Amino acid sequence: MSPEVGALSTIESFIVIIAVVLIQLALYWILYRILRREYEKIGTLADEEKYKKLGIVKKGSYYLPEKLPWYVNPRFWEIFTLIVSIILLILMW
Amino acid sequence: MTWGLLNEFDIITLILLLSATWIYSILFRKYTKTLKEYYIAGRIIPWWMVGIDLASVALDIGNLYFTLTWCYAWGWFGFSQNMPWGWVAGSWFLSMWILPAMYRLGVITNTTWLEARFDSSMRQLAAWMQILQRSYVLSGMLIGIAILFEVTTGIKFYEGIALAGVISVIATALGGKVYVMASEVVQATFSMIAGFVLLFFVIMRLGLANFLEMLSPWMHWVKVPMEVVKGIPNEVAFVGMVLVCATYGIINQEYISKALSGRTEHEARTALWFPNMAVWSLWMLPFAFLGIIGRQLYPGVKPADYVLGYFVRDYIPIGLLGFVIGSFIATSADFGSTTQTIASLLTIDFYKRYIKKGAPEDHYVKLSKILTILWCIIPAIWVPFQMALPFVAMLYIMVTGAIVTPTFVPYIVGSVSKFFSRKSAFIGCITGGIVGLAISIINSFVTPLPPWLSHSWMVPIYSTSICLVVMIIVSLIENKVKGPLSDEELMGVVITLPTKYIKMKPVQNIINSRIQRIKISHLSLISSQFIGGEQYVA
Repeated sequence: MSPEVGALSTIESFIVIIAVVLIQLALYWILYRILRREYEKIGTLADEEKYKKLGIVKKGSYYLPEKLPWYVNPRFWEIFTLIVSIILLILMW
Repeated sequence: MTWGLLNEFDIITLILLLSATWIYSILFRKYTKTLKEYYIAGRIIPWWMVGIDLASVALDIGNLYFTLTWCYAWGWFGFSQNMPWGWVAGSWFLSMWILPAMYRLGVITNTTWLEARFDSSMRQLAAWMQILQRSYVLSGMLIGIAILFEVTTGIKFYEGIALAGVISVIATALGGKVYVMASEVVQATFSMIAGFVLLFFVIMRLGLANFLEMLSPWMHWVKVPMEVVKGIPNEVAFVGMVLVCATYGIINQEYISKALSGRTEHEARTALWFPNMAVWSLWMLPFAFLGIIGRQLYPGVKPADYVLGYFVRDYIPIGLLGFVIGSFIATSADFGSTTQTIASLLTIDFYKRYIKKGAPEDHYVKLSKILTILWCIIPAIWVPFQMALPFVAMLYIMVTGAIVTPTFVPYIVGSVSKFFSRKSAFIGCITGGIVGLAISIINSFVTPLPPWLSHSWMVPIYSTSICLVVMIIVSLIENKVKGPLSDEELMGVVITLPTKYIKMKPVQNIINSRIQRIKISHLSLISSQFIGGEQYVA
């Protein structure tokens, strides 16, 4: 290591460890709770029961919820990503 | 107490980051009772989590190096594998045709769909090509972890390889896909923070103006100040690389299995785009920048993969080293996910298909767990080859381009058209693969061929084109002799067919008999089920 890089002080090192532990624990626990809830809700259901429970119906070629928010609309993201990609491609050619 | 450059605080942080995954996996043991749970998380995962996990497939420890070394070699041109032109193109096919069909058929491996669409030989070819490809991807991850250990702790390279192998596979075998999906969200978060922390310290030391000055000439997709491939215009090389990258999400069972873990069809499709691509691009940004300036700060490093280790060693203060190294290594949780992918192909596509049919579900799950652990050792055979190359990911480009890429063609054309006949895929892929392999062998061992013909990014253009042409010819002949495939026969397999057929009850009987004939026991078909007045295949 280059000598000028230096080291964190003891207090700073403790803060890093505590932050790592707390963030890890919080994230792991939240995700576990979410997945456990999902599993209890739909994990044991057959697909047709799951779709019925979640209000999914066939619209055209795809299965979609009756009310489809934009942020879970695949078509929105398909078009959005394509446009962003083309803009970035041209801007930084 | 110290360990190489790491002081006691670094060691504690490193241990905390790595041991947490093992402990965490135990919580998910109850969710690994069936193949569906073990490999596709019982299809309960919300879209946002699937999206982050999809990004994690492309951002394991091997891919951190992948991005850095490509940008080290070619500037921003190398980042185009991450700002995914090819990926966007491939994802359109996935989102609109391929994934919905697989989701409705209830398949666990993407190769199972190939048997339903084409024939069993195509399924086997694609499965074994995937096993080959995933093996050298795993090897790249082993090398990545070993290099970080070697540079920062002084642990010997091959000891680092052995250590790397066991870090995540045990956790994956214990917790299955549900654990993988949850832990990768955490690891993605830490890895992204660590990447930006590293970039922050580099900019602080170099000065922002100096940093930007080093960066700016190289910040072009194509017009970088160098000839990327000698004798080929950068524009043509760019097209070749896009083609190699376009195949990634489609032929990659690991990627597909995570998408299939989504709660519903539309959530799986959404996750392909968001947050997948946003997370992916953001996560890679610091590594791309480091690669570009690494070329100027550490010229002539071979393999260039060591540059990441040098940045960590030279720019991160002691006390933060444990966090940065631990976060990068923790992304190797995807290592377990990759060995799990290989286990799925071996168990479902080979063992269950040919060796032992109709065994109890827990028999296959047990075998899957054993294979998940065992397969952490086998990829090490690639290590010496990869270490002899200018950068480790070079092997991926060479082998994938030559023989794996053609298997992407049947997924594309087979999902959008019923014209292509049963035998056409296998014959097309074999022909394309042989041509790709022949070009590579002649160029390497007989006589050097011109770059426009033999470069790793050019070969896929030829191998996939030949595959497509052969598929068309074989289909014309087979359709003439046997007659074209009927809509009824492909119902549920190709979703572009007229929707009126979805309502036809007799169709289900035809599909059922077809499924029984090809004996895909886990490809479940729910035939008389109606949702909202519509019938569907699960």
